Amino acid sequence: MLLRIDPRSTEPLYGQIAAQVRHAIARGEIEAGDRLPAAKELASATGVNLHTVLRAYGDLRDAGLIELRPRRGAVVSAAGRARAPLVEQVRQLLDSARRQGFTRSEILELVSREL
Amino acid sequence: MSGSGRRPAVVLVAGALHVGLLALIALPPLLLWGRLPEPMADHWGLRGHPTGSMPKEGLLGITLAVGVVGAVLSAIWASRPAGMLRGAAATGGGRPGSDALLVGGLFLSGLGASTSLVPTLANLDAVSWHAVRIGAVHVVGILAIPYGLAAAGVWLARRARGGVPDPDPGEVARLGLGPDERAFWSGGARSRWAAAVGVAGVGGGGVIWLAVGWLFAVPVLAVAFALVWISSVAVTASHLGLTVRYGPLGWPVTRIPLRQIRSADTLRLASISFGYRGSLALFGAAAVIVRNGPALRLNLTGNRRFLVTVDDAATGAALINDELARSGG
Repeated sequence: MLLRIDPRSTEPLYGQIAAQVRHAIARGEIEAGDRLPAAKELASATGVNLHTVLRAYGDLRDAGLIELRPRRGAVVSAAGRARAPLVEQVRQLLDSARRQGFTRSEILELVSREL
Repeated sequence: MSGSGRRPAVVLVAGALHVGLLALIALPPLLLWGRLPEPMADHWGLRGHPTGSMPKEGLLGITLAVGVVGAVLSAIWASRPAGMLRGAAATGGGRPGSDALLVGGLFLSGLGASTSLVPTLANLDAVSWHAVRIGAVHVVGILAIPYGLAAAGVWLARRARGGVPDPDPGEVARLGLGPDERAFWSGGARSRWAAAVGVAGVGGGGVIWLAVGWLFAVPVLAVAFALVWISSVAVTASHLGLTVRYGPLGWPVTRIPLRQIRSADTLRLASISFGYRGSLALFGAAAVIVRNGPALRLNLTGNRRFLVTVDDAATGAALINDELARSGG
């Protein structure tokens, strides 16, 4: 798994980390049960604040893609491996909708109509 | 003959091995029953003197149970479709799904055979278990049979799978990192057969400890733990250099700072040379080989070299070369 952090990007650093881990899970580069790099090591290697990495991992946990286990660290969840491609597609859809100027309520209305 | 064509023959050979091993567990003690003392010596001290005994039926029952469990594992392997090379394009070396079952199964059955045969021969024609002594040849026999069968299991599994596709062209592309960009790469490599044999060895060592004694169990456990330790590596690379962590606990850790690296490339190992070899400090070269397939090679200062088998080695090498270029190295 390769993570590339661009401090000049408009996307927040934690968002860049979370997005790339999500891509890696969706592409099958990392499998259920695989451990993510330790937050301290990732922070030190990328020059990013530790809390930024922890926030990224927290977002991935909230999305159900990883589990944070004591002494084991961040591990890709079985459910996460199955969900990641769909989560990725949803994010791409939302990015596309926002670029086209749709508001949050308009996006929600569109999705609700199709359900 | 393709892998799928060889599989039925391999299944037959594995089945015949298990039948032979179960016979080796049961027949010697049964045929020699009248010539064995009751109870039999089954624990020995450091100098080979007997320190414990067990009824003949008990020892036969335990060793048969271990042998049957081994046969069941191999039967599960045989019942599955030919191993899928999961993510072969990403991993390069492929990850056969269930070969560990065959290797672990043969190891366990071999362990049952050796822990039945060796005590039987040691106790033969003894008037009492108190007089049964063992020597180094008995300990070698306990170890050689299961580990030899495990090696045979690895060979058989590879024959059944056939060739592994070669997705890694061996070219190292540069990442093209931007001036302010930071990158972090992580990869790993696993040997499922080593992990399976190691875990089976730990379990088997425990059974041996209880059934035969710690004298036989300690060498088995030592080799088993070493196999588990070397069965997997986790590798990371960044502007700081390369880090290698060993085994399920990620310890110990090898850190190679970027300033000690002159260049990085990849190569493809065509045959298994399993294990940790050499020493960076003493010999100037070390290799950590967990499986065949892609490996990341570092050319270090002082004409030293370090090699580690790892998935996606090309990306790791590309990152290191980019960081070297940025640091002026």
